[in-house]
Amino acid sequence: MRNSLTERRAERGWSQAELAERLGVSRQTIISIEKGRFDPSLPLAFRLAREFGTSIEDLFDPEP
Amino acid sequence: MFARWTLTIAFALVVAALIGAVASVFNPEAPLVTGLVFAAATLGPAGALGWFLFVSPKTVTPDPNAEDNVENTWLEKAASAAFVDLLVLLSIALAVVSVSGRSPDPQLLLLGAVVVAMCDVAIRYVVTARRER
Repeated sequence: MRNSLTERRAERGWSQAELAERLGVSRQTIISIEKGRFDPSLPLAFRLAREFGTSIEDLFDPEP
Repeated sequence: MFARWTLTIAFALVVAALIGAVASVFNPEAPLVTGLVFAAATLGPAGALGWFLFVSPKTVTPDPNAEDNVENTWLEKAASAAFVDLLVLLSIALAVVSVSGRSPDPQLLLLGAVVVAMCDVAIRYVVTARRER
């Protein structure tokens, strides 16, 4: 699943470690999501969307 | 906290002594040595169990987001695959034992199954982590 996590994180000047800390997950989790190798759980997707002030649909694209 | 650590040590000593006593009853040839060896071998795991029961509830905070981490997914994948591996391995072993009519030492068989399962999970976790990193 594609996502705009890297771009949105860069816009805010957050490091992967910083975003991971904000969400309460490991940095590896952020890396894997950004690379599209790990689909986050629904609660984590909601937290991500909330963190970036957007919706899950805007953050994630179901097209491979 | 001192009381909890004292309780942990006491718990470990009692559990190790009990297991040593039970082992010595079932091995009448050398009850003292058997009891001491089993007690010594059990002391570590019993201490760990005591720490888990009495100390960790006050010192370890559960991670509410643990299941959201990718590492959790890797472990689940590794454990699921290892379970299937173990099932296949034990089925093959059972077929071989049934056909040959020879019964292996149950202690050796169980030890082998535990070691294979643990190694399988560890190897599969590392492979999955490297592949999906």
